[in-house]
Amino acid sequence: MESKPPKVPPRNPAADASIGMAALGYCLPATRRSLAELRADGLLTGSAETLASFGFAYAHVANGETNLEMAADAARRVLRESATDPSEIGLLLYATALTGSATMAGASDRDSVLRLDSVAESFQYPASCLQAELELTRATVAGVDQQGCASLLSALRIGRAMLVAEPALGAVLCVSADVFPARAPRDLVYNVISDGACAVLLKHGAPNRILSCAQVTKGSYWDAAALEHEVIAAYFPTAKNLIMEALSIAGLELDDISLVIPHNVSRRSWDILCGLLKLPADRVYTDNIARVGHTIAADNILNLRDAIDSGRVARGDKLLLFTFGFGLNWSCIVVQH
Amino acid sequence: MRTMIVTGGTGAIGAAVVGRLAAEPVVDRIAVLTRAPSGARQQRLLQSWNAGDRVPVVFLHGKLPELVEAGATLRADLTHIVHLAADTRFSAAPEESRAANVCGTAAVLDYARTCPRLAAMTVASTVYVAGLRSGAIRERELEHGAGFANNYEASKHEMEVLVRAAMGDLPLSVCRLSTAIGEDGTGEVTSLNAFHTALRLMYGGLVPMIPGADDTPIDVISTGFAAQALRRLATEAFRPGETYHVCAGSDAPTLGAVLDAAMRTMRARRPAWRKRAIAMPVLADEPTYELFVRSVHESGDAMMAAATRAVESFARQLTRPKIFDTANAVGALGDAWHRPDSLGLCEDVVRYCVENEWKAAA
Repeated sequence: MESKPPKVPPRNPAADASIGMAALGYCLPATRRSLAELRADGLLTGSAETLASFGFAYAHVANGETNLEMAADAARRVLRESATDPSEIGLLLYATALTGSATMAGASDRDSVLRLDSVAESFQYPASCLQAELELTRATVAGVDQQGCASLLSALRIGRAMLVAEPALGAVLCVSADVFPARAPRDLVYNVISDGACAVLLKHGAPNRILSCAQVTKGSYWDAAALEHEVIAAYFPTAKNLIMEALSIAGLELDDISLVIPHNVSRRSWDILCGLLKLPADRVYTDNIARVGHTIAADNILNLRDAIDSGRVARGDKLLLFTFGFGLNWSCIVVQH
Repeated sequence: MRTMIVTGGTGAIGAAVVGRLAAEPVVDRIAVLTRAPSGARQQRLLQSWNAGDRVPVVFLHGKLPELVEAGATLRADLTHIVHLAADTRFSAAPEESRAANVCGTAAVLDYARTCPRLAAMTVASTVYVAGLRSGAIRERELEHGAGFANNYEASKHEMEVLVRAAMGDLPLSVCRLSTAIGEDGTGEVTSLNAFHTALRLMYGGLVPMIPGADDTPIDVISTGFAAQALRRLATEAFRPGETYHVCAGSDAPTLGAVLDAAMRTMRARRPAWRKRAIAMPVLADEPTYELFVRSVHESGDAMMAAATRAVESFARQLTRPKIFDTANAVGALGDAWHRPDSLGLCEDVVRYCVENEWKAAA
């Protein structure tokens, strides 16, 4: 009897593809408020001192800027800096964390998130609007949402997979933008929230090559407000497990990572996660936690751009981008600069 | 014939000890000292102990310092004292722990000195008088400067110092018990302690991390194992001046194995719980765990703070791995020493807790 050949796990074709981030950009509202100012404006529910001890100092607050305008600004910067003709873009992925950000109403009226005045407004999409605004005439559009702050990293994962599956797409533009409702408190689960947007251009053969993507969704925590304590408790073990999984997929150890590009949640939580990972705290880029705050889904790209611009990243460095979003979603991407 | 007093005889281990003593032909009278007034549990215990009406077991109600009066009528005939009464709460204030465990024991020792026929007094202690030491812990060792994880440990250590000082004029031995978590085979729990509380918090998805390493020994025993060993060491195997470790010792399972078993059992017993996709707590070193605890307290989150505090009471022990030597106990018990299956016991106890929603058996 003929013996069966040993089972070989199927290779992930994306692992062999040289898909990277050709350009990165972000946009923050010009208005920056200190914790004391936020407190004075009634935009903090907790103690400013505690938030300061957790590493926060400022939040960027939109003062008339809409999420769509900021998304367009970040995307234009990416196209300009990479000298990319808009017609090269085959796919636009518009990632949003807040449910209202995926609607034109959410973009135009920050006080009426999800309260649409007519059915017709429900069919007005910011992704289409942005495609027209940027003259991405060849690009189809798709929204990536319902993953909280993990939406942008999820868009990168999907964009990379799409480029592998359909090389003719040429380039994928991933954009994220969120603006908090105007009067909503800016502290959320011990983090200080900023408004902001970011954009990433994915291409074959680009720098910042994506080596692995890993994500986990735990839908049982969908009602995060009701399960706040359980959400906090779930964060650390799942974060550690996912980071190790992303490294394993990339065939790397934590020691191979030159710099972790974090989401800008409390610095204290990063100190704890570093302890659990046995990762020296100076290998996490935390410069923006105090001066920017947590820009929902844009943190990792904002931090990666600033880390590169400030000389913290050398050519060939392997970087680990990690974030966490309501839903609950944990997402991690390993890249080589 | 033996006339005995058992203090703390209505607790999980105490009741099991009295039950075994009551079945011995050489015991003709047992007085169970209890602080609580007579209740339904005491009546049930009395019925079970006095089955067949051979050995009369009676309750003496009162606090330990009042024992001299309460036990006055027994003084002339008393041959054995088994002193189990203690305040075992990890979270008790220092003065509360001292009052019960040090002053209470001092009162029992005073009483013992007035009993002319006393042949044996066995004092129950805890293996955690070793406090925050790590490594191999011998039964003869007591003094150390490593500190303690909680007031219970500190007060029991002070108690042992007192007992050792009295060994010159009284027939005394010390049985250091490990953490008794439930019954062999059934996993039935009659008294909830920090182990069960930690399990409940884990089940509720409120334990993100536990201090310690994968190979940290977790020394737990069944109430039956503890009671059987205590009975023998207090009677036919009694040797004055000795100290025994009644524990799992080198058979203690590891923290990693216990967590695996707990998660596996929870998933198997509650399909609905599986949907919650609760991750196993991650193991943290001491500084990381302390930073987490400090952050929880600073955040002002009352529920997380309460959950964290429940684990804090013994957390530091998990960062001080230790193996308790049992040579003395094994030698004294001989064939009566049965190697405990502590990991199997953990699984049984988790199953019992899940199925009974952490309600202790009556």
